[in-house]
Amino acid sequence: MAAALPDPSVSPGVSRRPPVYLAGRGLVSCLGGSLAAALDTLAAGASPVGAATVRVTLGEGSDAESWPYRGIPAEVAPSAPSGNMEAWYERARELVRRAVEQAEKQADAGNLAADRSGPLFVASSSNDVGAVEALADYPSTDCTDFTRRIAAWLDWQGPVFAVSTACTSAMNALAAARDMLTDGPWDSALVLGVELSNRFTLASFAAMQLLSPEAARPFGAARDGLVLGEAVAALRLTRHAPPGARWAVAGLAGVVDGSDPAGAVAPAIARAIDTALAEAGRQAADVGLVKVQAAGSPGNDAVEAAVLAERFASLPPLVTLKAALGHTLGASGAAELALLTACLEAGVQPPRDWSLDPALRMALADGTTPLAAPPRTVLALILGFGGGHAALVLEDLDGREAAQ
Amino acid sequence: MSANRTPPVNRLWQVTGRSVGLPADWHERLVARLGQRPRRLGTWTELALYGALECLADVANGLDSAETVRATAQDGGASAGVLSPASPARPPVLLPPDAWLRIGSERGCAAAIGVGLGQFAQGWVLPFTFMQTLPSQTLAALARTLGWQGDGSFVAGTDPLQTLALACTGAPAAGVLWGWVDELPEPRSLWLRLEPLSGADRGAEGREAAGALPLPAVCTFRPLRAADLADPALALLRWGAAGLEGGFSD
Repeated sequence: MAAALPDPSVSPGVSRRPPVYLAGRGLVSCLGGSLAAALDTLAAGASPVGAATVRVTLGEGSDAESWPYRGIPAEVAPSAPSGNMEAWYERARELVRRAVEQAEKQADAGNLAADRSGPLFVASSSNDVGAVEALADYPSTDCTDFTRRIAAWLDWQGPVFAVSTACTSAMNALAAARDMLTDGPWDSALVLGVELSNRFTLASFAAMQLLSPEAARPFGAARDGLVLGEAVAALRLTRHAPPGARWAVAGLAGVVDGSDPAGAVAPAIARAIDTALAEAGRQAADVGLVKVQAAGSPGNDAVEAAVLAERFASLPPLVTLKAALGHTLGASGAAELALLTACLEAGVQPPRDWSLDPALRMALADGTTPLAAPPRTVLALILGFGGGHAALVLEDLDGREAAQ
Repeated sequence: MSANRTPPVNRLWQVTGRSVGLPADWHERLVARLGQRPRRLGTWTELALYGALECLADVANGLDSAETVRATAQDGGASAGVLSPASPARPPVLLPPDAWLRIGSERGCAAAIGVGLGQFAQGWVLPFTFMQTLPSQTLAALARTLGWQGDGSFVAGTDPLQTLALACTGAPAAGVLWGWVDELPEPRSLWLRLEPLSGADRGAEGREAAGALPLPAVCTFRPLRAADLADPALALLRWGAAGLEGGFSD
């Protein structure tokens, strides 16, 4: 596998790109109704296996199967009754409102006024299928319709786009927002990652035998699949760094490879990493932390581990958020970016209570050992069902100032 | 787009290939191009494949025409007619690895979602049905068929011009293969191969020297409308004060 990887010293056609800035972020997830609540949950060391994991039963009688699911807690937003489309949309509206409100509040703290005239990107894989799946006479649905609803909820005045590329949806939305800000006419954009509970997606993943019956164990010796989850994340991006901005998106690359549309492809991961680093003007040795994809899949985790081992002469600390958040599919890029940056600022790590696979040699953070040094350059990977592979490079602006 | 903000980096684009129509026998033509019947793909994906391949074949035809023009100019017309005329069977050119692949749509995989929900109502979902509900699978199928690996994305919206503008914004020097594909309410698959004529690293002279189509001698620009995307006279795109403008060869 390693022999097929491109030479890391060569990134043809890739030049540095100006960064964009993370001016505000918000998250509603299985860890709580806000980022602050999520940090509290993680800091309390709650086991990702237990807390906030519900079991969803599919099928009936002897065919019934029960699957773990990382749902948003009922005390944050009770699930809509099955078949009640309006209640589903009302819950979605409330979750979107909460996430956007957090992002705007943070941006406001940086003296950045709320701006709903720029581009809005809604990233989702399942969109609003949960609203209609239980209806006997379900209406035809599509991602544009759901995005249009969200734009109306927010009274959004700017152009609106729905980005749907399975697990890489939010990363592609971030890339599109970056293009609009650095090469286009806009100063501010909002990326929403919205992945809400539905049985259709769960049943489909179960049919493809991708789910763990118990828990996600990224890079784990006993890993046997992923656990889906729901989240709504909001990321406000700006062309110019607002006062107090802590994080810059310095590199971001997406690579589609059709050779295995159901799994991760090593050369595509390598190309995404190389391109993102080249855009940021960084090398692998500069990376102080990697937020891995590692969802707990036996095959994909191994492919990702092999690429990381090949690309990094000395591996930096590794962290995964999939066990804590669940795999939030189209929202995962935004949800994990929001949680990752908040965790780094607060010095909080997600707990890990499973044994690692020694064959992979991936020293995933254990959640208790502090990082030796705060990372200035962070690499985040999102790998997608459908041959999508994305890498994002974050720069800690506080770290940069300290280095200067 | 706001009229008073910074214009994009690449401000002028050439249409080097297009596929704008959908003949009644489009599926048979797709099978002929592929050399086999596509398997396990939904109709929406097949529509995308058809248009993308036709568009890249049109690029190949255009390069043939450009070669003819160039050879004729160089030898005073003696070689006119030596090169074979553009043929519908001309194999597509390759999409460069640094070019972008962008699919836009209003309804995306809506038809496949309907099929999947119908199966779900019966208590089961076939894996391939579910996969057909994911636009990422269309990107993967296109990448596989085109022998291409690179930056691909799917963006849905109500206005094709907005997704086209998004595709052009930030696109690299290798340009973009952009398609607007829907299965519902009526099948359509409109594709443009766009290459920048301006930007930091490539000028119009460089593009012509590299073998692209010669620029139209006379071009009239006006604000682009969605209906213009299917106009064969559309030769150039540029950023104007109010957004994208189309340059039409006279």
